[in-house]
Formats: sequence, C-alpha cells, structure tokens
Amino acid sequence: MFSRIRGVVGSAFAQPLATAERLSAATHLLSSLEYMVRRSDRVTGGLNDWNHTRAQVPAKTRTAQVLRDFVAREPVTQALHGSRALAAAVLIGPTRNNTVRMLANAYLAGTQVLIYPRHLFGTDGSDQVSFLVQSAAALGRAGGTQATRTAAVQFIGAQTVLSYGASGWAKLPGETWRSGDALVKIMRTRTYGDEWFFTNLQRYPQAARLLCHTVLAIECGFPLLLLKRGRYIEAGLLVMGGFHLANARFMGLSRFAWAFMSTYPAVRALAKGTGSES
Amino acid sequence: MKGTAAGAVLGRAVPAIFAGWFVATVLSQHPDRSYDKTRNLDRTGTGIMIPNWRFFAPNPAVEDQHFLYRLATEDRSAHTEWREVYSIVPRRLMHAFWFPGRRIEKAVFDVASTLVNNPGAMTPLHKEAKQSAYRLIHDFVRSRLTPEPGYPLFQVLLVRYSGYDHSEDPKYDMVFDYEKVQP
Repeated sequence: MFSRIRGVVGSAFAQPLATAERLSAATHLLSSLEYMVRRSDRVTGGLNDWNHTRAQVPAKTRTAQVLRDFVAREPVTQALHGSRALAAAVLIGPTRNNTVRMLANAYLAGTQVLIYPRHLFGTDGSDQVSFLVQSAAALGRAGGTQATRTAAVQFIGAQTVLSYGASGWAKLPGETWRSGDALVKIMRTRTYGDEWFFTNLQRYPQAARLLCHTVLAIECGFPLLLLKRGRYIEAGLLVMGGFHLANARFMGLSRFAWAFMSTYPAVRALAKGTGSES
Repeated sequence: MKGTAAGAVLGRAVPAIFAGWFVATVLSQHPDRSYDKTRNLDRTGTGIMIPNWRFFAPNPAVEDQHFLYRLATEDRSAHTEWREVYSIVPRRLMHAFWFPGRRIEKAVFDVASTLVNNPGAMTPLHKEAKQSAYRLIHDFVRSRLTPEPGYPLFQVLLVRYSGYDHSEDPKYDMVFDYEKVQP
C-alpha cells in the first residue's frame, strides 16, 4: 500500500499543472457545495442578504450593476454554483484534452469573479489561491504550447512561495508574533481556535512560544528553499503540508489545505527548474 | 499562417502576462500604503486578481467578535439582559473536511470589521455602505432574537471577547440605535 501511495504522489508531482488544476478544482467544488447548502446566509436575516450588501460593492457601470443583481437572485446563484461543481468535476476527472481543461478552468475563474460580490462577507485566502490556480491554468493552456503551460506552473509555484514569504515577513512587525504569544492567542478564539489545543498551549507556554516562532521562521525562510536547485524543497513542502493539515483540524480551515497543497508540485517544479510535465 | 502567427503572439504574451501579474502581486504585499495603487490594476472590482497574502499579519485575530442584543420597552426605561445573537460552533473533527458554517463565522468577523474600521465614512457612497451594514446587522439580529411581550424594541452591542481564555474582560466596541422588533 505504501508503494501505491508513493506511486500516486509521484504521479501527481510529475504533472504539476494537472495536479494543481485537480486539487484546486476540489476547493471550488467544496466551496460551491458549501454555498449551495447555506441558503440561509442569503435570505433576509442572513449576512449576505444582497438587498443590503449590494451597497458595499457598488458597480462602476449600470450594466455591471444589472448583472450583479441578476446573479444575486437565488435560483441564478444556485445554478451558477451547480454548474461550477460540474466544471470542477470535469477538471478532477481524467480528461486530458487541453481545450476542455482550459475551458473548465476559465469557467471556474470567470464565475468566481462573477459571484464574488454576491458572497461578499465570509470569503478567505483559499478563494484567492483557487482563483489564481484556475486562471493561471486557463491562461497557460490557452497559450497552447508546452512553454506557456510551464509558465503557468512557474507562476503558480512562485505565488505560493510569495504567499508563505509575505505572510511570514508581514507578521514580523506584530508584537504578539515576535513575543511568541500569537499562537496561543489565536487558538483561544472560538472562531479560529480549538479548546483542547489552547488548553495545552497554555499549560506549556515555552513550547507554545517555540511553536509560534518556528511557524514564523519557516514562513519567512520558505523562499530560501528555491536556492541550490531546490535540494530541500520536498522537506519544506512536507512541513508546510503538515502546517495546513493542522490548520484544517484546529482552525477549521479545510479548504486552505486543498488550495495550497494543490500548488506543491508546481512549487517543486519551480525550485527544480522542471516544466509542466516533468 | 494565421494560426501560427496567433500562436506566436500568444506564446510571447502569456509568459509576459504572468511576469507582470507576479510583479504586481509582489509590490502589493508591501506594507507601505502607496503600493496599494498597484491593486488598481484589478479591474474586476472584486480585489481577487491581486491576492493579499498577509494572513493574520501584522496583528492576528486574537478575540472573537460577538453581536449581543437586548430588548427594551417602548419608553426605553427597562431592558432585558444582553443575550448572544449567534453562538460560534465549537471545533469538531468534521470541520477539517466539511465546514459550511465557516463562511458565516468569517462573515461575522468581516461585517464587524467593516463597521469598526470605517467610523469616519464621509462620502455619500461610504455613508450608504455604512447604513446598509447597520440594516444588515439589524435584520440578522431580528431573525434570531427571542421576542418578549412588552418589549417592542431591541438594541445591538458589538463585543470582543477572548474566547476560551476567561482571564480578560469583554471589550465593548459599538452599541447600535434602538430598532423595532417588528419593523
């Protein structure tokens, strides 16, 4: 069984663009299914009641406003998400046709832009990642050559490296991050934390600070893994993968794991200097 | 011939677009606000084209946002106690795989942030946005409160609290005007 898992992982890493598309499409699929079952957020009394939220995102032209109001009608919202789920299923499926995959990618990216204002409150970073992956994949495939697909892979990989680096460096001015208290304070919240984890972090404050500083150091230092032709990139990705899985469990950020890990073969390809089919 | 020419153009344009897009993203991560102008390149009006990678930075979310409400008599002389509008769901293993409720919890954060971070809304557009945010919250509370006879009004309070850490006092951010339970 272990060798089978290795085979699957190896195959995934050998096709960085297809892997990114597939796993990121899973993020879109999960996201659309979530929205479909949360109708209560959009009716009167919901925090995305379009009657009120439309004033938060006024369109610049009358046509754009009419389009947004149309998309915000519940049957249209549901239909869009249903069609997005289908497009995601196509990408997750085995089809290898470049045009079909390009169109499915473009559809996911385009409908995400269309529907973004409708779900104004409650979006998060995984939405940003999944949009980037699908639009980059669409563009790379639209170019029609191995070179443009490779450019898409490099772009996706570079964005993830930037994401970790920027996230780390942007934390440094924060007093709670520098002191090492940030982790226990985030974990104490009900929104982003976990009671069991918080209790243990409080019980072992030195370990909590060490863990906090370790996360900070790994994020800040992640771009360095691109050096030496990515000799340590696999180790770095394994650590960050563990970080995302822990976040899924303790912070409830399940879609982040799918979205970010979808880009890992692309990060590796960028570090090693290989192409879209290595 | 045409196909080849178009292919050649795309072959050059695509990597150039990626390069420009990446550079714009790098610049937009700079903490200096003047770099935010780069975000104007995003014409979708959604802000999704140029991602903000500065998660939980520089200051992470370390408190929960709570909307509380209390009922009031017509003359506002008597009130009920402050009650929770929405209870944040405790973490479960299932959330690692399927958690549609994540959206509303993040939405509470986003709405609270919108209200607290834009106190000096001066332009008509900003004022309208602020008023609509108040109406949104009032409808949100109205649909969740438990009415009582003799208390036709309600009032909302936005509070920050340190979650499972009970060593700190709640911080009161904003109290809203009185609204009718039956509009």
